[in-house]
Amino acid sequence: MKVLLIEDDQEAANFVVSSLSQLGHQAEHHVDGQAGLVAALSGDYDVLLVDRRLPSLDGLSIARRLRAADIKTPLIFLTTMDGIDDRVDGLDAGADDYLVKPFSFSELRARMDAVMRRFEKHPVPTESIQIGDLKIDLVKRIARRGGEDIHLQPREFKLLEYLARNAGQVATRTMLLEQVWGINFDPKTNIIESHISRLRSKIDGNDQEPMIKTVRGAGYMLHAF
Amino acid sequence: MLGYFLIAIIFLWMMFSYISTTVWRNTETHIDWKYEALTSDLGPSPESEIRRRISSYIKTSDPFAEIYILQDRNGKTVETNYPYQAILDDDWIVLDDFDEDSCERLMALQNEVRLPLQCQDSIHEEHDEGPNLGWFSISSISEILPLPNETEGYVGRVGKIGDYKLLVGRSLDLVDETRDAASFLTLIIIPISLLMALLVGLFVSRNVRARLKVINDRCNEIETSGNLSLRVPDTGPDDEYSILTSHVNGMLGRLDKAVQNIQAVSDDLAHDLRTPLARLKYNFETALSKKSSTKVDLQTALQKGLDETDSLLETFSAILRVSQIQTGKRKTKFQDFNLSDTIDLISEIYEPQAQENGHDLQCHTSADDMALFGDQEMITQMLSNLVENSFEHGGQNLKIKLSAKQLDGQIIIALADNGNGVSQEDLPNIFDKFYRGDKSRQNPGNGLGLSIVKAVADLHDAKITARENDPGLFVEIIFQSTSQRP
Repeated sequence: MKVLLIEDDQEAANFVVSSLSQLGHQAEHHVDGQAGLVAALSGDYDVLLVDRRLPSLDGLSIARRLRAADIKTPLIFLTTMDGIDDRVDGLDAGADDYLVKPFSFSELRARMDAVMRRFEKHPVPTESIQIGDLKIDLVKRIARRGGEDIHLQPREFKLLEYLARNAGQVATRTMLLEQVWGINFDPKTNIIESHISRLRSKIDGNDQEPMIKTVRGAGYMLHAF
Repeated sequence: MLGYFLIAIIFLWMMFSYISTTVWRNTETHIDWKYEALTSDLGPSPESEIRRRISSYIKTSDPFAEIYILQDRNGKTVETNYPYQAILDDDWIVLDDFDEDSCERLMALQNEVRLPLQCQDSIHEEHDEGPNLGWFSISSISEILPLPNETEGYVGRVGKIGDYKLLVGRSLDLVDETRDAASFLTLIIIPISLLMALLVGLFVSRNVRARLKVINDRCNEIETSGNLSLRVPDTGPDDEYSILTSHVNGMLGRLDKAVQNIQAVSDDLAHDLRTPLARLKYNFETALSKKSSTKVDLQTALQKGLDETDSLLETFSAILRVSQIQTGKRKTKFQDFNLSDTIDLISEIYEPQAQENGHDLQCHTSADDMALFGDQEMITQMLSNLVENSFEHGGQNLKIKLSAKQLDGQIIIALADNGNGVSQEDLPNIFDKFYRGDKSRQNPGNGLGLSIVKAVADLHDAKITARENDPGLFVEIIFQSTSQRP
């Protein structure tokens, strides 16, 4: 994967670049906003990681100009500005996601995967999702595994739907809170753990192959067999 | 000032000449009217008719105000109320016109007899109707027409009616009275009034300046000393200046409070952040200095440091969040949302944890659909902080009740627990930033949870109160739900 990082903090940039390199990704780093924009305009990258505050051209302007130039490369803001308005402004400017510093690399990776996936597989309206022997009917809001109906609470269904839509990818705690519960702060409760555990007992019951995997230090993943 | 006087003088002069012209014009009109009344439509025997008319006029008129003299062709007076002998002679009484020559003649005459002379252009302007009409001033001929008593003279009109000569005159006293009144008005009353207005103006402006000086001096003092606790003294009566003063003081009060708040926050930051930062430093120093430290020891120390850093970052985020909410910028994002859904979400988020910790969390709304105009995300955060506050400071085996009800167009959210509660002296301060009652100091948290609650309530113009629940804490937030809709 080819990543462009526009970030004026050298330490933070080193952290991201070295972590990406370790995973075998190719990362290019620019300190200056203007130079970063020029590079990004080539459309030569798989994903853009952009700081909000940059010398010569700020992140919001970069995002706007890229979108105006019809460059649709997925873009994630990496920023210390964590107000709700800041997040909304960032997404309005054309970013695909918004990550507040300091973040763990696993969070960044999960989000990069998610935006890439969204970008590659344009979400087509679908009536059902089939993963292994698990079938999720999105219209009737029912899940079946191995021919047996699974009774799910609305929130559990939503959680399963999100995991299924991103099957094979890590969904972090904050991603789940945002996407499934619609909250942008961490309530510091075991809400996710308890829902995952309930969901697990429902879909992985009866000694079937466990489908929901815990990725240590990162989040959860619905296994695609 | 000189300009003011000049303008006043020009104004007075214009006023005086206008009044005096008007007085003359009125006098003329009056005489004309009388003359016309006597001489028009005399019928077949004009001489006897005019005599009859004059005699009836004489009966009702005051000889000191108006005189009538009718003479026949021989100069013999046939009707009059004038007590002296008068000779109406064309040569020197009847003036066809008040041209310059006539005026000079009369002036010369006046010098001789030392009597006042009226020689106004305006007298004759409209009366050039024929050779037998003329205007004169009797005062100029008072040798022949002796003046009764103190009368200054007469002004009148002479004309021929057939063979008769008629004089209609009006006492100058009447004219002079009016003119005197006008003079008195324009030369004495108005100047005095103007002078008084000037003095009052000076007094008022001195007063204004004095009162503004008080405000200016105090503002200057605050500006130079930076002492925001100073206030502008309210010296005068209840007027615009005291309103201004109270506005300035109100602003200073707000500013003072804001600065105090910032000072308090920075003091607290120093305390609340320096302590964990110091701990972090000791932790790393200790781990590094121990020669015997194993890899596990170092990892433990690093993990401890990481946890400490996380908690520091959280405190920072909370501080930023409070100040961001307080700027009120988010009001633009207000919209109607269903509060019941939010309460359900809170129940869903905290119920499992409550059970795990042996608490009993009950969430209740009086209706399934409860529209609140506001920022849903902020309200969620607020309710979440309230519940977390009970969890953190309430103690063991709590009964927590979170409820929302609609009443008289208001939406009332209440949280009640039966935990440790807050002492009376701590109650007024629990919404202050970083405030932690003595009882809660040992508990986790950064002392910002309830200030976020308060900030969100303030953002929604909601009224928030906290009181003892005997035992426990009771917090109530009242939203004026419908009235805020734009």
